[in-house]
Amino acid sequence: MHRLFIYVMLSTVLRTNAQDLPAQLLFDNEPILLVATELDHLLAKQLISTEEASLLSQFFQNGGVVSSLYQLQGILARDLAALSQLSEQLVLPRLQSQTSKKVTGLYELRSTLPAFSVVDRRNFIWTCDTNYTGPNFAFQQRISLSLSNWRFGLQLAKDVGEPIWHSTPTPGIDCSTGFLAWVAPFKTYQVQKILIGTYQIQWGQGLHLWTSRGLGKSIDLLQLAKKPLGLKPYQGRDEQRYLQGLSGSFQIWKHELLVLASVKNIDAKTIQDTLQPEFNWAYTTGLHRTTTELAKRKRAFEQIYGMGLRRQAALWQYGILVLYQQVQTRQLFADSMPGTQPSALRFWSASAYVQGTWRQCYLYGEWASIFKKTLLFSQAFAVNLGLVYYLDPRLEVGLNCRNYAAHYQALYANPIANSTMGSNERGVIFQLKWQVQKNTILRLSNEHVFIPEFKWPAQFPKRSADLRLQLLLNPSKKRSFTQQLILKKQEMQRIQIRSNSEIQFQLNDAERFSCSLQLGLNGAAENISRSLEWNWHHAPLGAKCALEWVYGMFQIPAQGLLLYSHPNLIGFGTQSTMLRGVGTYSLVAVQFNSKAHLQLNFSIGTKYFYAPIQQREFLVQLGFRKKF
Amino acid sequence: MLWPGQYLLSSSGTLNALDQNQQHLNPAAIHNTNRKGFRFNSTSPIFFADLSQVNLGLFYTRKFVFLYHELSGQFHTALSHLRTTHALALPIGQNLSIGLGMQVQLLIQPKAYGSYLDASARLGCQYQFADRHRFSMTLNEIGVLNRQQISLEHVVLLRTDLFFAQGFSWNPNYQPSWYLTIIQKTAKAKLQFSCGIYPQRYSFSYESSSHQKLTWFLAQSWQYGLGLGLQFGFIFH
Repeated sequence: MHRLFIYVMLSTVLRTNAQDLPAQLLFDNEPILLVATELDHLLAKQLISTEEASLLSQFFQNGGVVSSLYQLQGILARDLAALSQLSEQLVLPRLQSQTSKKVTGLYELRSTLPAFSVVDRRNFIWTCDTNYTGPNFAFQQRISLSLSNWRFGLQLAKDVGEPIWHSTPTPGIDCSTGFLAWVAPFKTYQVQKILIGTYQIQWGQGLHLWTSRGLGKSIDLLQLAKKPLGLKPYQGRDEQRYLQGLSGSFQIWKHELLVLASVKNIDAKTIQDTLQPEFNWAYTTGLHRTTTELAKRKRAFEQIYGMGLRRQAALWQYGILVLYQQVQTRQLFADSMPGTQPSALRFWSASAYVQGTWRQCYLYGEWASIFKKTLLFSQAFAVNLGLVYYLDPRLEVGLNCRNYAAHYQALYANPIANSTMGSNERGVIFQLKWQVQKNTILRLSNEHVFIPEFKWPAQFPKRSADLRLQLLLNPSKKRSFTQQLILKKQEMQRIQIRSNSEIQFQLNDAERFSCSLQLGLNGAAENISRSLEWNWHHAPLGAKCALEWVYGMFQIPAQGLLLYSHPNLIGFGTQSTMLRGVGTYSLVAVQFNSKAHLQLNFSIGTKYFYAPIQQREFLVQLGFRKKF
Repeated sequence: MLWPGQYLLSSSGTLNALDQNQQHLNPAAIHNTNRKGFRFNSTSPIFFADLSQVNLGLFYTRKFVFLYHELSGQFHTALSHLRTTHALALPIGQNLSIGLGMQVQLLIQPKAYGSYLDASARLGCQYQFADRHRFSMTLNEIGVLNRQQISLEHVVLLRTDLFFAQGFSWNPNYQPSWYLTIIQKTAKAKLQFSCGIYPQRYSFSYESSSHQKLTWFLAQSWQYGLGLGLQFGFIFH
């Protein structure tokens, strides 16, 4: 039971920090600040154990701040000798008095310079899609300020090919977000958070309201159950998935009361584009590069009002949420043709969720429904139920069932589903986790999905199934091996087989090496897709300079399965690339840190295509961070 | 079928230096007990009377750096290669070494396209991650489009006198080449059997160290498309 609880707590911490991963990586080789958001960093560096992480997580959740080594010794129950080694790699936060008027903050600038190509060793050309309407570079700059209990953030950004300034339909920079927040210093305050501007909310299991992105499924049993973080300020790069307006969180009779009002102009799809199995009606890519993409920009007006109530205890939590959601296409001057009326989607929705530990079980579930006069209850609900049963210290099984009815909709959902946006489907997932030996874990996941409804004539009911098998070997703290095998079968299609092997060595204190091999076999083609990637990470603790080098080769036949590369580059976070054709790629990142909390990041990426045409592509990224 | 950069009928040695310097295959494959020497190797496919390969290599240490220089040639009436390779290896701790090398190659095809000169870099590492396990990786022909090649190898020390190696090499233009090698050491000799696919091949070699300063070896190989071949070589320590 205790172990199960630790898993729950840790997965909460890790999920929390997945949002901030790029920021953490920026200071990978510096002493780590002992705060809640850095716990996974400490775990990854094996400075603390999982049990100690759960103790610290609980301490931080109750509003605690570790301000001295003696306090840390009391929490971790370590002797001072063991603690002194740990303390060399830690920085303790300074206690700030509530009346402190000192402003602290962070400024960050990141830019992707125009890409260029070299063809046949001679022809140097700037890579620029002629369909793009804006300049061929990207930038993102943001500033965060903190004064006493107040927080402020502002972000301006644009992607490659997007115009910097838009004059219609809403004048402004391509993407600008900002917030002003007040956060209570202790959990005993009745008013916990007040937020004006852009924010995100994670609620329940993601069926009803979960603005942040993320793949809904995982092979890890307890990762299937989401751990909602509630209300948070938003300063991310996603131009779509956030709310904007006023929101607050209050502590009433041990419950958290959430109130939200969000009003913003969003990108709108045409009616034809909305005929999709995903039930997030308003979703687009957020890119405004071409005239087609620009035509969708800020063409709809979205309003969301709601109220939620939840209670969170150490081992369980429950909550309810009621929302009014409305999206209305904006009637602009250019559209004001006689007889045209703006179309609108409006509905009330409600949800309830519960999750917690009971004896050897971890249970979670959420029910959500929308209310429209034209819809029956059976057509407009979504339910998601899961159970993780702790059979033996070495064996855990999990079962998840979902049924998202044909007409269920939500504007910001992120449920367990085959699509990250959620599909109107039924599905069941069976999972097993077996600790074969002390250092060997075997995971199995089997999923069956059925989409039964005809939403438009071209669609027909379809079934799919996939089986995942994962083997994890950790012979020591310094090396690990992972092997994953995925078999996927969809109706009317042949079986797809994917294999992913990864080996990782911690060579010494400063060096880490990993190598991964991906294979993909599409039953319809005889060719095999292959890719091999290795990663060298050099980051001596406390050094001013850190380096990372990623090198890969790929061979993807025309009819073969597509493969993806997701290296996590120091200072720049995850760099996802779809691999096509035959060639090699290389990414080098260098990070410079100064004692004045100034950080410079530089990365250069090259991609050599051998086929179908011989070409070299270059991409340069720059980053600058300053803490003050 | 030969990849650019691949040795003709390569048979002897592993990417990991088990008991002697192997920097001709991996710039980082150094061994502490084999710090200075001269290597000669010749290869001749039996069915191609006018095809042969010769390699001359020299390795030594300067302070803590292991250096290697090689001159090699592959001779055929239609196409000849002349190649010089230089490598520098640096031990980092007891279990890890990294190596960097460069290679300049002249391809001579007088009756067709004339001559072509190119230069490329090499990178390698060798890591002993457990008492009985070793891992090595090399990246060859860095900077030359179409010819970059990656090789990985894992060696298990089954006994003090018995080694097993598995590895593969890959240039994305071709299928990966996989191989298995078993090496047995006796009091005065070393026997090695290696087989692989893509292309199909095998080799058997006998190495003798009857004199303290001289090691000689003889190998017989077969490779799909090239047929049988003989190799002879020696190393002065």
